[in-house]
Amino acid sequence: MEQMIQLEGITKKFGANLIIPTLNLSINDGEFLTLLGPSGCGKTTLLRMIAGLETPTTGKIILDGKDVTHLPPYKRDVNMVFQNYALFPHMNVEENIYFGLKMKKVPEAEAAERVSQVLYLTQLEEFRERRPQQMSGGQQQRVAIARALVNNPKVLLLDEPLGALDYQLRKKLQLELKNLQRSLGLTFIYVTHDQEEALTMSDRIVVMNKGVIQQDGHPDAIYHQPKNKFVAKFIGESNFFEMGDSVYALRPEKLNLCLEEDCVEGKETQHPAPQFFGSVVDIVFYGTIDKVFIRLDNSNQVVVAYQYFDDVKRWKVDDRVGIWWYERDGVKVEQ
Amino acid sequence: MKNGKLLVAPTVLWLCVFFIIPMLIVVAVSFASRTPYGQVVFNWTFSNYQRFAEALYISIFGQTLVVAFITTVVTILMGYPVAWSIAKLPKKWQQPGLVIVMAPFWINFLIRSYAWVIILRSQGVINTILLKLGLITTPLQMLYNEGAVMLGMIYALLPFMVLPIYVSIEQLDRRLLEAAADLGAAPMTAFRKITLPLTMPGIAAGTILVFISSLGMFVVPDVMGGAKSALIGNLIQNQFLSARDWPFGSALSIVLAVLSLVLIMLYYKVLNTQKGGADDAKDVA
Amino acid sequence: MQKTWRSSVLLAYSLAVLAFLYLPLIILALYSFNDSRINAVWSGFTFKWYQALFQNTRVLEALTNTLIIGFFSTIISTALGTTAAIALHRYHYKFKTVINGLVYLPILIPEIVMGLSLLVLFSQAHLPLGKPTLILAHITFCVSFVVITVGARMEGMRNDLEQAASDLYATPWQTFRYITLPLIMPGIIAGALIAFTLSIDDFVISFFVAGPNSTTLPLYIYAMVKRGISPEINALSTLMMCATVSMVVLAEILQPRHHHRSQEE
Repeated sequence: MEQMIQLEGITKKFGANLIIPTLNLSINDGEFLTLLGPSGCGKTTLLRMIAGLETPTTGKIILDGKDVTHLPPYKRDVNMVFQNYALFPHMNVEENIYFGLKMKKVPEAEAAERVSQVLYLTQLEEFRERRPQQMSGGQQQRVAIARALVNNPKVLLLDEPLGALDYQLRKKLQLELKNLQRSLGLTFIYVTHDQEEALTMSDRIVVMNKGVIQQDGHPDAIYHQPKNKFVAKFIGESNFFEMGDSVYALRPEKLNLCLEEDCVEGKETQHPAPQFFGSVVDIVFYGTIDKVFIRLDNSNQVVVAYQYFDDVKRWKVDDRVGIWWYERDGVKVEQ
Repeated sequence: MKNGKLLVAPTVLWLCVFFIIPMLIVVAVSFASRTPYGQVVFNWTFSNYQRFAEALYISIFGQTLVVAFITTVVTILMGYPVAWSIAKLPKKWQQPGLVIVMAPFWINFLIRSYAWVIILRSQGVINTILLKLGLITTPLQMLYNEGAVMLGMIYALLPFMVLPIYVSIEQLDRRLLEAAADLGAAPMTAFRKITLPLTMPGIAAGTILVFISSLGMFVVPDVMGGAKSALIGNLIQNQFLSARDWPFGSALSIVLAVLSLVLIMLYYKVLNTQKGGADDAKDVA
Repeated sequence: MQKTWRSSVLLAYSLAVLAFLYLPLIILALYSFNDSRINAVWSGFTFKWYQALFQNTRVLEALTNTLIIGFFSTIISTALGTTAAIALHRYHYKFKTVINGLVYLPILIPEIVMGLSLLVLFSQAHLPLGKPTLILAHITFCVSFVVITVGARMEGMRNDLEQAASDLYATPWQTFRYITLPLIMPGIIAGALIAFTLSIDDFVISFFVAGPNSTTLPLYIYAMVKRGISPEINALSTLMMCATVSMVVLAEILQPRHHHRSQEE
């Protein structure tokens, strides 16, 4: 696949603060790539460097084969959807969308054509004359996307574009955005701290922490084969078990429980022998599952296991249990 | 726009030439003496500052401080309830309320003092009414005394007190009062124990603003006090425009300026703690 | 019950204070329509004092002076103050606190000190006192207010708008022209209104730096007040009050802060 963006040896310092130590990343054409990480992990800074709103301290940014490292934002063929949309309050929807075309001096006829296309695409036709302040959050969000898309950018940058919306609307727009990206075949770089959003939308996720890429891969791989403790913890819930020199990460749904008396050493069981024993300290009802918290023997560590109702057994506090899993479910992670 | 930074230069230059340099010249003049014809001779002397020790000037300084003090106290007593009432208005009426209280402040002190002259002078509104009613037979002498000056000052500076107090009351977290009431505090107790301490920064800010302004005031005493009541402001004005003793006038104004600046720095300290408090309140919310 | 009497006492008190603030001004305005020259007794409604004003060449001259000085001080101080406010908002300066201090000092220092220091400057520089010195002085005290007013507006503006413009192919100049300037325009107008109000209303500083042929309206009023009471002063003062207050209220309406605050609620 053709590469759209290459980041080569990027570092970024703000004053004496090193935000991003050396970082390399290639992004393919037509890819939906998500930069995922906690706030302050450098993901937004990275996005802003691609947009040209920040300049890397060292390193090169190559966009579609051209070095754009020191080009100002207004000379780059990328467009951004800002976190709080950054719609111009003194212009109506149409004027907002026209703005980029006007600055690029696109001929009037073509500009008009492109604006109506994008208005249709984002279902904003009836709002042409509205001011941003007169619109709901979801509508404003659409305007922000339309305003960026109308310029036919090579890459669309999205900085937590759904962050300000409520849960229901976010779910709906996630789907719309994903469909839009797929039908346009456009490269999207999407910044979020919401792991669920990242998992549902992306072709590829780059997990970042403290300016360093922790893992780079398909959502499936990120979830099921976390490379290290940070990724395992940041995406979904994970339990960590130290076994010899290694640490294994296990998703709570992969942990199985048995009563100690049924599975102590020597007893015949139909499943692998338990690796750990402990006492149930708490059980929290979560609708379809019970979250069972177990304190491991000879340590203070508490692990959590999800138990479905159709399991034969409901657990009680102070039950003595063995914890077992299938070998394929344990993921060896770096510390 | 690499040179955009320089956009601030014209203003900085302007203020240096027309504000800082004049101030420095005044400082220099304050150490000079004057010839009998009023010319300034630079001979580096402290004598202008030593003259403050003369009984006449001590009494003028004392008088100024007393007037400033009383003005401040009275404006607090008058301003606090007003600020409170505005802060209690429905949200959308607060801004208009504030504008109504602040608007007279923009009219210059000269016109505002003159308005009182019309009311208080011997053929003025009050005397005319009292004479008509037969309550007095000769007009009362209400103008051109210290009381009149004080009244004028209070009148002139009251809005200055209301504004900062309003700000501090508005920032007050209402839930604290609800909590106090919930914990059994009577309204007056709640006021004394919660509201007053929390709005103290506003009172302090207003106090400093009013106090400084009354120190430098010369219009009000000039118009309403006549020749009898001189404050520092009038003394300075006099040195420059009639006595033509610029060195002494300069020394006086340097003292006034330094005193004001010290008070202003205090004001900023207060303001910062007030802001800090407001931010804390926001964090809680 | 208790609460009601407390708040009605408070309300009555506040209204009394408000009356204290406004009654003198209302009486002043009222007597500008009084027919009697010895003006305490009401002897009928008249416009004649206003007519007299407009036939008084010295008043008209003072008015012309005031407007000329106000016009030039406003234009220059608005230009200076606006550029400074934009630069201060956009760039980091090593000496930002010093610059801010420099901007605030002229507001904080007693007016009388500023007036006499300018008098001393002009006399040391052998500049004859007159309209030019008045304009220089007025610009000096107006410029800080413009910086603060425009600065407040810039403060209220989100900086991602300029970034968005830049992302949408606008050069820095285009960003300024199409985004920044329209958005801060209400602040610039408010600043200019305040500057104009301060200039035409100023007495203390003008008192020190005016020359024989540069009497402004406030200076003219002062001279008349010193000579005695006359209904013409009432009329002139009333007109000035109206001009001042209406401009300040207009500036207040244009100020962004309050608007923002009410939106946040």
